[in-house]
Amino acid sequence: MKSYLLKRTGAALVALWLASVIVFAGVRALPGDAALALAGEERSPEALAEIREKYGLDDPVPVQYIRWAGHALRGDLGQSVRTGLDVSDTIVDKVPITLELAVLSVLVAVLIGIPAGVVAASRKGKFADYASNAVGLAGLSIPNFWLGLVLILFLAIRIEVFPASGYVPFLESPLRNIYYMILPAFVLGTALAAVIMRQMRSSMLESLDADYVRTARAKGLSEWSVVGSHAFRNSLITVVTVIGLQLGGLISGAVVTEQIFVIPGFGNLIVAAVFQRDLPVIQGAVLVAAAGYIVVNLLVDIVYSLLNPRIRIAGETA
Amino acid sequence: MPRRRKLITAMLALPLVAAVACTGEPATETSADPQGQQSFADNRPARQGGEVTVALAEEPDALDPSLARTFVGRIVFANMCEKLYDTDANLELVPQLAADMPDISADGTTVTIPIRRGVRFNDGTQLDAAAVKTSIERHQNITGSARTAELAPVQSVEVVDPMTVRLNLSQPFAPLTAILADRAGMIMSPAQLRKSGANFGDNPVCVGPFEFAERRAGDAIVLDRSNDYYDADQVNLDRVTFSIIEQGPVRAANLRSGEVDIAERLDTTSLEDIEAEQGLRLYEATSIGYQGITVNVGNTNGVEQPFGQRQAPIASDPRVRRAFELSLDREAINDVVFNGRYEPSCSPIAPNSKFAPEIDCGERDVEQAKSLLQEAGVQTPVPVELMLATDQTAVRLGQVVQEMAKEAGFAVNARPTEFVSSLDLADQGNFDTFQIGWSGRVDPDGNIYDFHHSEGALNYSGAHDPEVDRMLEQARTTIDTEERRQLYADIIDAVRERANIIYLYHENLFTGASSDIVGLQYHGDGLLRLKTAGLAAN
Repeated sequence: MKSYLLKRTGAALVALWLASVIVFAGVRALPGDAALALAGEERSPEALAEIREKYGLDDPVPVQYIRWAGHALRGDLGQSVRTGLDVSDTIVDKVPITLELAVLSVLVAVLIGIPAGVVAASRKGKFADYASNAVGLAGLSIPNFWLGLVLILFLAIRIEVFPASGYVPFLESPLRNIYYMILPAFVLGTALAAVIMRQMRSSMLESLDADYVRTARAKGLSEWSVVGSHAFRNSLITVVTVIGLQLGGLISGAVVTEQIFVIPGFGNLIVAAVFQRDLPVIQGAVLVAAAGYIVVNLLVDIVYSLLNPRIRIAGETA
Repeated sequence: MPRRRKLITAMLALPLVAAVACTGEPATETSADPQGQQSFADNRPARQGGEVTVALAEEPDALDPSLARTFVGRIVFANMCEKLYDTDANLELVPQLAADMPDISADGTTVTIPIRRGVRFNDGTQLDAAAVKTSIERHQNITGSARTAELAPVQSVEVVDPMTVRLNLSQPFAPLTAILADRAGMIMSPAQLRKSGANFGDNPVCVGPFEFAERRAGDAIVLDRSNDYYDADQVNLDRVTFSIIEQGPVRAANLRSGEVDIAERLDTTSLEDIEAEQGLRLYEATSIGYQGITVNVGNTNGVEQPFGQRQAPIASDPRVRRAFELSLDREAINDVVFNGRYEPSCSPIAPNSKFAPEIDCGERDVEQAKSLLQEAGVQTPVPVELMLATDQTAVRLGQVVQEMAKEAGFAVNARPTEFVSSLDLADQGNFDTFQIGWSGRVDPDGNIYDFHHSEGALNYSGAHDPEVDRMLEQARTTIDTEERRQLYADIIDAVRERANIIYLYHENLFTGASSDIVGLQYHGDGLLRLKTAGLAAN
């Protein structure tokens, strides 16, 4: 067990190191001189030279990398070239906002997707099935930026039910925070709702065909109890796995959703930083995102190995 | 990978879809407010207190007057960092923290500035000549300063008496007062500078109607009413929140839904909806900047490098460039691309400047363009590659230019390029023609010198002509306004002749605001001055 853990952790560290190298090199491969981006309208040769010197942009890339990595190891991701604000602090501020959006949109997706999937499966071939399939297909096909703009137009401008955009920190006012998050979470959640609905429908259909459901029916249980307790519960397992797999996708979907609803989250931070060639911010944010994925994967591996000794043993002998 | 592509496509399509989504519906209501399009005048009294939220089109950079480089940052500074001089509604320079206009010596090399008395910084410390000296010297010396070039002629700053400073110049420098009416003239609290040093921008303290309260990266900048401001009687609002909303249609939507009270730099495509909306009004100001097409004539090795001669026909023969200009119809461009909302022009100086010369831009003349091409002996169609921004408006502009120039015998190939990349290509001299503009400076020198002088920092066209250089140097060292005006008129004639920049139009700046807001000042410099703004008393 110990050697398995060590091996997995070692692999994760290597992955993290590779990610940091790729991020660093990738950012420098972006077309356009970072000094020019920063200089704005004041781009005299002297000003450009000062900027390059101040941020060490003239040093060889490996030297820049070692300097940055050294600081990053101590938790210091540097300062934003554009605003001069501390990158680590900024990221710590932004991550909870995007996580909240992601969690709420999963909630929306579950609340819509699961009942719709159950209804579709239990009414297979009937109107409700076709209707929820059609809505699901639409949910998958409609780009969320378009849906977002349409909802803003109708629900925020025509009839002023929801705010058009913006964000209120949870600690400032929890109720207003949720109120501002409803539309974005709905927009981000629709595509996932469609995925869940389709997954729910197909695994429900499978369960409804299974022997134990036939047995339950044979015992004379009510249809409600057959569908609700027996088939439904067993179908949930795959759906939960699918939700887990889609979380990564949600984070990237959040990038667009945050732009439309002006939510100052992680996605917004990265997009703005790329356009402004704010190298420390891009590097820091992508590194933190990569670290997040790697840590989650590591934890999943560990949990699996605890649950299923075969994985652990295979890992040890390999 | 597919997800990634979906994302990029989505982002590219966003402005288009957004524009359609927000303008698709015809306006059914008529404006209830007949003053909707009128600027400034509003006699309703404001009530004390209240908060407003202002949507900014971009995120400001460091809130440090020495380091700041963005236009949008100046909007925030305009409300918390006063300057030695300011520009009024007529773009005239007026004293702000200075007590009077500068006293310039006969030879033009010493400039004496009296300081306003009884002024305190927003930390309660006193403004005096020593503080002015400290700030100007910091502007000149701090690493990464964006003020070094504009203050280059200032050799030393002297404290003459506690309330008077003197700037000693290496040569007469007419734009100096205008430069001191921008960030170089902002005076920072010496006490705060001692405390925060190079990190002044994290917690800036200046003289202003509002003081810095909080900044949330990528989100908002909050200013609170100052308790130390010398002119506090004029101030009404308790708090101003600048909220960053980069997408134009989203900014407009927020204004219409009342999420924000003021939204600056609205797209021309969203104006009709705003005008039609009850309870909103549109403020309009002609920008002091310009937009045009820069032609690369001699920038073969990069802006800081020796000139070369480019071989493309449009680079080697001014007749070809004039033919190109003659093929374009500025009025039609304005009507088709900007819904007629901008000011067609062939000058770098906006019409609202006292230095603006009277120019006849001439009409579109395809026949004359053709004969100029014939005279130049070039083979038609003349290939022209036009680099421009990636947004829908820029692309539309490119298409219109392409169609117009085609009739005269040009084959224009539009090349939409992401902004920073395009700056890089321009800096390297790796372009044929480039649609780019300038946000503008109050003094005409700031709109011309760096673009046309052979050693100018922004001389992307690589034009170099000793005569033009001499005229530009003479104009910036001439103090007399009338004389300068004539010099700039001559310069504009000369640069129109060589046609290294083909000026097309001046933008109009549109700011939308709730009609509850009174006392908002919005001039041609595009800054929002909220000092006297307030919510209308009922």
